[in-house]
Amino acid sequence: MGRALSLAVIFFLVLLPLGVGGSTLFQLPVFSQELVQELLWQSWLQSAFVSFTFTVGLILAVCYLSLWLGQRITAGLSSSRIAPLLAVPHAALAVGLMVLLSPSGWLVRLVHSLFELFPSPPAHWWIADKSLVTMAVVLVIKEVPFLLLMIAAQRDQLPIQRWQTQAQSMGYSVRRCWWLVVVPALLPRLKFPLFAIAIYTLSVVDIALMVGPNTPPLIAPRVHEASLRFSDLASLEAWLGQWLMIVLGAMLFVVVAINQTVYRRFGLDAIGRPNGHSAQRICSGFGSQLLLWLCGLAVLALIVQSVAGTWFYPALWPQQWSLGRWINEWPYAWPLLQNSLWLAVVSAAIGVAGALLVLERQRSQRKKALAWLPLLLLLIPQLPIVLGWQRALGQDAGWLWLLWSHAAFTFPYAYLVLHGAYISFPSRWLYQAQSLGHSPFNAWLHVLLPQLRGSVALAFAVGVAVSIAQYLPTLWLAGVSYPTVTTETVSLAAGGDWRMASVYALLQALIPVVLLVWASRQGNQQRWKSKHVRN
Amino acid sequence: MLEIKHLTISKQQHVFLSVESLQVAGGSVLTLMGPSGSGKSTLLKWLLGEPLPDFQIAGELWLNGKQRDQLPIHARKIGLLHQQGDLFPHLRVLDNLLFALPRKDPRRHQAALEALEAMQLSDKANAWPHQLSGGEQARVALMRALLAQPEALLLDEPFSSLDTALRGTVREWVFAQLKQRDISVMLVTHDKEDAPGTIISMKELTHA
Repeated sequence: MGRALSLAVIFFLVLLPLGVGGSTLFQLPVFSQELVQELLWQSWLQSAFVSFTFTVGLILAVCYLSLWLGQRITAGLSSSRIAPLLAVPHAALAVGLMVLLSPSGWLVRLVHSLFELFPSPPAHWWIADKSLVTMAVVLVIKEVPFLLLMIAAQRDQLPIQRWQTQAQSMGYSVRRCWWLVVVPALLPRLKFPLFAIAIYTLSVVDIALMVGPNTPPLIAPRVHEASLRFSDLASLEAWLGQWLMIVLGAMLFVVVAINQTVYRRFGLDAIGRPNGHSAQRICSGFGSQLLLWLCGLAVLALIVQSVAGTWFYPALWPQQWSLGRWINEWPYAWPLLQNSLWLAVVSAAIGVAGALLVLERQRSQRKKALAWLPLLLLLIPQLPIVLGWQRALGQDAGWLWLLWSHAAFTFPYAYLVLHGAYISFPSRWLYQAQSLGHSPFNAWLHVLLPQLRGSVALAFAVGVAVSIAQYLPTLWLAGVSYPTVTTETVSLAAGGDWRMASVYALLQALIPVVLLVWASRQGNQQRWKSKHVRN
Repeated sequence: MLEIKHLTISKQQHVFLSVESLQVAGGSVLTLMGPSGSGKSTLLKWLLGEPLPDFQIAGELWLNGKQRDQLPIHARKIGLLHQQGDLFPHLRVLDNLLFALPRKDPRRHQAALEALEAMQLSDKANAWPHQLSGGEQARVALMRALLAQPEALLLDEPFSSLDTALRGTVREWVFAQLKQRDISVMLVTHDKEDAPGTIISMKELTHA
């Protein structure tokens, strides 16, 4: 039964969409060997190469930066500090960071007001409007908190305190124990989350459109652009591009898989040499603070930008303040906000319910490891899948399919967030409740669920954040009937209207921030009650 | 009366535990002792009804004349007390006690409050479990198990987390409560001092 369901999921969610379109393309007159070769060798391979190397660099940076910062992450810290970082959607953060860090941004203005170094915006500033560096900064700031959350969840399942005590009794510092003992145990457990980050980076379209490079463009925006043109050649390009992305995805899986082997082979030797400095721990604390500050300043920049009237360079603050943009835009923004809100709440609830069902089945089967099937849609580039859905369902598929497409992505994230806490929940409590006369469902409802309230709330809030941030499924399945604040933010930002984009980016960030702060409070309230009793 | 008949527990075709016949009368305590890995906990899990997917099990469990081995945990009328006490941390003391009483019972609040009074813990009704001492936690956990009106009770090292000074007092109080209610008790412990009635080693049990 389970195997049949797995095969059905793979067939309907992945194979069928990927196959749609391919069979008809082969009958087109434009499809010829020469053309394919020309397309591939002239520019697609260049885009593929840049996308691949960029993604490999980014996942390694995110992985080791997170592990470095993760030394100081505890369960309490994870929910209270990571939540705000997770909450701000990618697109909103990209707009905020551009307002903060671009050549005419707040940072340059601040430096000029202090030292009078930049009377005009610097021509060769390190962070351009559209570049790989800009995109890398946005993605690192967004993906590091996600991986930190995963590290925090896995930390709870490892006897790290015992290992550190043992290691210290043998003369190792806490830092060296972290890199020599804890990290090798963590890396295999982070394989799926890391791969999900790799696939996201490879196939993200909205961030690439907003802040990614144009020359050469990354592969995902190229496929997106090709899919918007209505010609046989464009269809062929989109089809070839999507398969190229799948091949790159497979190559990235190999990179993530050998990462832990390479670390064991070379990394451990390097760390084995005694060079302990306590400065590194201080730096890792500073690093997590820097992430928080950057994120907070980006949101502040959005707020200021959205209410700025006249604001000429190099003034640090706007010469005029105005609510005009908000007032004028509200009648247009309100329906988009409503669409975002109901989609997010319902799809997150479906995603969490699905994750709970899968995890309960996994727990009853005593399978503790992360399963790949629930994560399937995070492990395959989103763009080819959604393109296939669009081909199968049409461009205006209706609200039900739109909701389904959002839930398809909230579910794996909810599963990832809930997995650690759910699987490590002691079964004896459930048996205890049943021995008091409660049915298995009652025991689950009144004992397990309330105790995992914090994790469930966090999974729901992350699900909301994921749904709010969905760009391609919304645009391609119901972009005309159900536009959201995200489709509008990306549209405005890609067109360079950063001020108007700030208004929509703030609206986009509002719901997840509120929900994730609420979820972290739920987690904190629950933790203090159970910390002395739970074994 | 708790009765085990023709019980065989095997793991990978190897007979792990075999009990031809074992009886524990109401109001009496049978203590099982044996080294780690001898099957004490597995036996308790089978009696309670926990799934044991790694074992092949054949045998019958009878309680007060009714066969119970095919029933789910919540229908067996067998209570459980672990060494950790297992008070639910998300419920206050009074709510932990209420959890063991049927929701439709109009007297459930009264019964829970009376139970607290009997333990001289009325002032702890609104306390969280972690705010209780080890002895108080053990007493509330036992009272919660008793409020569910079990016909048999399984005690898995219930006193081992208590300090020596407290242990004797709590132990006497627990066994007095159980005797008063005529409940069949199976106790697993490493400490002979904790065992009030018949003691049987796992080795003897296998040959019983």
